Order: sequence, then C-alpha cells, then structure tokens
Amino acid sequence: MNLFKKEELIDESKLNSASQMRVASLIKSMPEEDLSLSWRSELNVKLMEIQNAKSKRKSTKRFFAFGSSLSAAVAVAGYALFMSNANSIVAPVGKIDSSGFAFELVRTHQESLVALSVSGTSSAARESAPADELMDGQDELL
Amino acid sequence: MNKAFAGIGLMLVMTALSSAQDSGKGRRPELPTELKESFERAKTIRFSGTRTVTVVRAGKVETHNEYVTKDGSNLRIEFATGSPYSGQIIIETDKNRRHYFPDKNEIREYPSFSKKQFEGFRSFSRGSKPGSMHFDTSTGGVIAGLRCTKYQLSDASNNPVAQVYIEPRSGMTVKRVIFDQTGNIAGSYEFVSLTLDPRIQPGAFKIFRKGATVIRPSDDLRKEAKELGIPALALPKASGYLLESVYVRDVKGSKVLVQSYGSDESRITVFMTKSILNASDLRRSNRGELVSYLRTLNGITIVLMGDQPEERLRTLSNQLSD
Amino acid sequence: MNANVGTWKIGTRTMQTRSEENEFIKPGSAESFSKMIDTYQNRVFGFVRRMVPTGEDAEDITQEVFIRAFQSFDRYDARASVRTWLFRIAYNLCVDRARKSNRGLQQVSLQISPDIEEEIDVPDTRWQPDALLEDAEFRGRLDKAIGLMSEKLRSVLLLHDKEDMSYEEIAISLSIPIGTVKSRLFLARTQLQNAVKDLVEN
Repeated sequence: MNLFKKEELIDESKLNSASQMRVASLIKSMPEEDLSLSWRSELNVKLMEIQNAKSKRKSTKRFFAFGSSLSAAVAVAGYALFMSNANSIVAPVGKIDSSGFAFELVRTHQESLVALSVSGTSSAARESAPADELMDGQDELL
Repeated sequence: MNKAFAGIGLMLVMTALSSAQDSGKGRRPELPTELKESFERAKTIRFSGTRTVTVVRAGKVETHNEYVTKDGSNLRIEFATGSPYSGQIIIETDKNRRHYFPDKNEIREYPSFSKKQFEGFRSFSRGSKPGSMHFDTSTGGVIAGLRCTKYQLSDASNNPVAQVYIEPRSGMTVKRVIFDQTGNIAGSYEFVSLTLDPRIQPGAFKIFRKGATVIRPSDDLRKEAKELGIPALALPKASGYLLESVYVRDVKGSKVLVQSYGSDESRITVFMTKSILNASDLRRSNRGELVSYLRTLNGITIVLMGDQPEERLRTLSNQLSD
Repeated sequence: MNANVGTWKIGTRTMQTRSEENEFIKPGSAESFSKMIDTYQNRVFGFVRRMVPTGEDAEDITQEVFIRAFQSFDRYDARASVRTWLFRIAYNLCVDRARKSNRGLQQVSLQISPDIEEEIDVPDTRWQPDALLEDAEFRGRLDKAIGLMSEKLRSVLLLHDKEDMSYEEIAISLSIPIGTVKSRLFLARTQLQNAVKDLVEN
C-alpha cells in the first residue's frame, strides 16, 4: 500500500541553495557521540562468543591481539577472569526469562532510589511479614 | 584459556578499572552555588505542611498525602486518613529513623537517611563522561504560596533527570521531581500547603506506644533469609554502608530477598535468590551509572547493584557475611 | 569555507574510493574487523542515537550492527563500501526497533509546502553553526525537530549531512532511488530550517 503522495523531484541547485547549505552545516557541526570502554568490552565478549561458536576446533587465535587497543585487552582480560573464576562467578544458563528477571532487579533498585528521595515511605512498604522477635511487651518511647 | 595471556590482560584490566573509578568522580553533577547554599540554609529550616507524593512500587504508580513537620534535623511525617499508610508515623532524628505501624503495633528502626546523598543527586546521574550532566536554573513559579526557583538536572541530550523547586530565602525544597530514562515521572512530591517557621509542639518528635515491638532491618533479614532457606548475608558497618530495609519481592515467580543499603555518597541494593541469573542479561539491563556484580555461592545467586565501579561491588560482595 | 564571511558552503565531497576505504578490510580477518569497529563505532552510534528514542536502545542496536556484520563478514565482497554496508544494517535495525515499539512509520508528505519561501543567497553573519550549537535552547529545539521527523527523512539527512555519504551510497543503504534521496533531503532540511528559524533571527 502506498502511504505517501507522489514525490516531487528536486533539482540539485535547490539542494545547494544557501538555506539548504546552512542546515547542512548545522547537522555537520552536531557533536559526535562517544561510546564507552565498557560498551566496547561487552561487544568484544559477544563477538568472541560468536567466534568460538563458529570455529570450535580452531585455537582462539588472537581475536584481540591487534594494535594496542586497550578496550580489546580489557575485554579479553575480562573474559579470562570470567572463565578462570568459575568458583565465584557464574557463567550460567537459567533460561527462566533471564533478561526479564534482570530488568526487574534493576527496576527494584531504581524505584527504591526514587522512593527514598521523594517520600517518607521507602520502596519496601512492608512487602513482607514483620519479624516476630525481640522486645515484646516493652513500652517504647520513640 | 591461556593463563599468560590472562595475566597480561589482568594488568590492563586494573588500568582500565582505575580509570573507570577516576571517571566515577567526574560523573557526579556539580551543584550550582545557589543550590548548594539553599541546601545549606535548609539544614536549619523549620516548617510544617502537606505534600502530595507520587511513587512507583513494583511498576505501579501510587499517590498519597503526607503531613510533614521539620525542625532542623528532626522530622515527623504522618499520613492522611484514607491513605494506605493512614495511622503510620515516621520520626527521624540525627540518631535514627523510626517508622510506627499501628496495625501490628511495631516500630521499625532504620538509620537516618543521609542528606548528603540526597542533595548530591548522585544516584540519579546518567552518562559516563565527566560533565555529561548539567543544571539549568529558571523561574519556578508559585508553589504552596511561595515563589520558587527551579533547578533542573539534565543529561547530555537535555533530557530531564531531576527537578527541585526551591524557596530562595529559606532554601526549602517545595517540590521535587525525579524522571526515568524515558522522560516519565518516576517519583515526586509537591507541597500543597506550607507554613515556614511554625509553632511546633514540644514532643512532636517523640512518640509513645505501649507494648510496641522494635524491629530492625537485621531482624527482618534473619527471618526472611531463614524462610527462603538462604544465608542471612549482610554488609558489615565497616563497609560504610548501613542496612536500611529488607524485604522479599516476587520476581517472575521467584522469591528474591532485597536489601537496601545507604552510605553518605551512594546506595547499594543486594539481591539474593535461588534462581539462576544470566550475567550478560544483567549487564544488558544496566544503563548509565548503574553497575552490577553477580556471583554465586553454594547455589545462591547474589547481585550487588549501585553506582559504584564493578571492582568496588566485587570488594563489597566479598565482605558479605552472616 | 567560502571567502565571503558568514556564508557557509559544504566543500566538494570527496568520497573515498572503494579501494581506499576498503583497503584494510580483509574478509574473515578478526583483526581487520576489529579495526573496522574502531573506525566506525562512534559514527554508527551517532546515527543510531538520533534514530531511536533512548541512548540504551542506541547502544544495543549499535552492538547488534557489528554483531550482524561480523556474522556475515567472511562473505563481505567489497562491492558495497564498508560504510554503506554498516549503515544499511543500522538503518534496518532502527526501523525494526521502531516497528516493535509500535511507533509505526509516520506518514510524510513529500510535497513541498507552498509556504516555504525561496531563500535568497546572501551572506548571513548570524549563521555560525558552532556558536548556535553552544546554546542549550537551540540545541534542544534542533534535537527535538530531528526527533519529530519521520525516519525516512531523518535517516537521509543524517547520512548525507552528518556522514557525508553520497546520494548513491544512501540510495544503496536505504534501498531507495537516488531521486527519492534528494527529495527527502530537501524536505528534511526545510523542516529543520523552519523549526529553528526564529531562534536564529532572534
């Protein structure tokens, strides 16, 4: 289904007019966006996983042995630490809607930050049954 | 994996992480001088008023009214009749914060919430580059009968992160709004009526309840952990973090024990669950300042989450003990 | 920059020839691919960031661009330039993301509005892009105007004026005729001009 009206052909000279060029220069001057080291490290880890999956028999030759890219070395080191500390760091599995689970944890943390900033109540709001120990029957002066 | 290769990488990791920690300082937004001065003046402020509060709990938006009385570092909050918190009283002093629940005749005792951390907006910073957040000042209109100045904290794309409306003479924060990363309001309060320098009754910051049970977060932690069949691990005071609340949340059908900690500068949440969590999914869910660290211990998944570098979270996780 | 003060012209675009741009590309070489990421990651991110609502989405999509590129890298045959190839993947992912979030494709008129005045080519000493972009209000207005634009116009604008891609490259990346590239570029620039005109004049 054609959602759009028929296009009007534009002559090159119109595109090179002063007003058009001004806008072009504005767009050109917009600030660059930078990505963080951790973004690159994360990407490198993912690419390494793909690489390993693709060629299990090949030695994992120097995916990151190039130039002096610190980010690559960080990624490799991170992966190395990840694999060598199997006792304390999980490399798991759990396809129990893991990404949704992670999202909920993040949301819980963020909600607690906000609740404490704007309310007398905390985000806990008595979600669980109270403890039943201690100081029963004692008059308490707050 | 080649251990020698990993060894070289370790050196580079430490370099990278130390620069990440350095950049952590740069990420804290610098308060405008006027705002700093306002917060300073507000430390000795006396007022009473009613504010409307909006918060999100488990994804649901709730609104309620609070009656607030403040005298310097002493604070009293009560709740309107008909609100879900009706009958509850909160008293905060320099020493602690006590929250009274009439239905169970319980007093829950927490550390005082850190004012420094609140004022610093540290928890709401976004963007990893120094100077990636900035404040703008403008007229805030009249709120609760008071003419205000508005300070807005925005990220590098000019998306609002937080707003405070300050009555300049007293430094009083008359309205505060926190935005989430989609630009929606994540929480707010706004005074609808306010009296500065009121007469405050003696004993306003004390309460007497016969037979009340005093419960501390550590008590909740022991009980909840026992019920879930997991160890009652907590951060020690020496870590700089004080346990402020403990509760159990149902997450995707799994029980998760949630501990909230605060220090002068930041907040950490510790999650413990028997469910298995994918570390890379956790990383993907984190954005901006938020960092998480995951480990397992005897089949229990432990996640630390906050605005500290991963190395710091790792160190803290090693300090968890029962 | 033109000798007339205040009149800005974009110089003749010199596009790298395919052989120059692609000379470091060795299909299937991990090292080569990694260098490619180094070269293009910020540029792809810059494009994607302005195509999707949030920074988080943009970071995710940018990673996905390179993951997809990597998955097909050993089949890369240099008929398309690296840049064309990567931005094609990026654009398609942005459109997919928009569809999934039910934003849908916005209808856009491709007729030129009769209200737009013909501009007269005179030096405009007010027009200093770098200085204008230092103003937060201007930047906000500009970002908003770009954000409100349809993906079809926005993508052409960014690829041509920010990335210096030729009409031909854009046509290949977006799978549209060259004439359509020009029309959309004209319309996008005109919309932006109208959005910020009053700020410049004031």
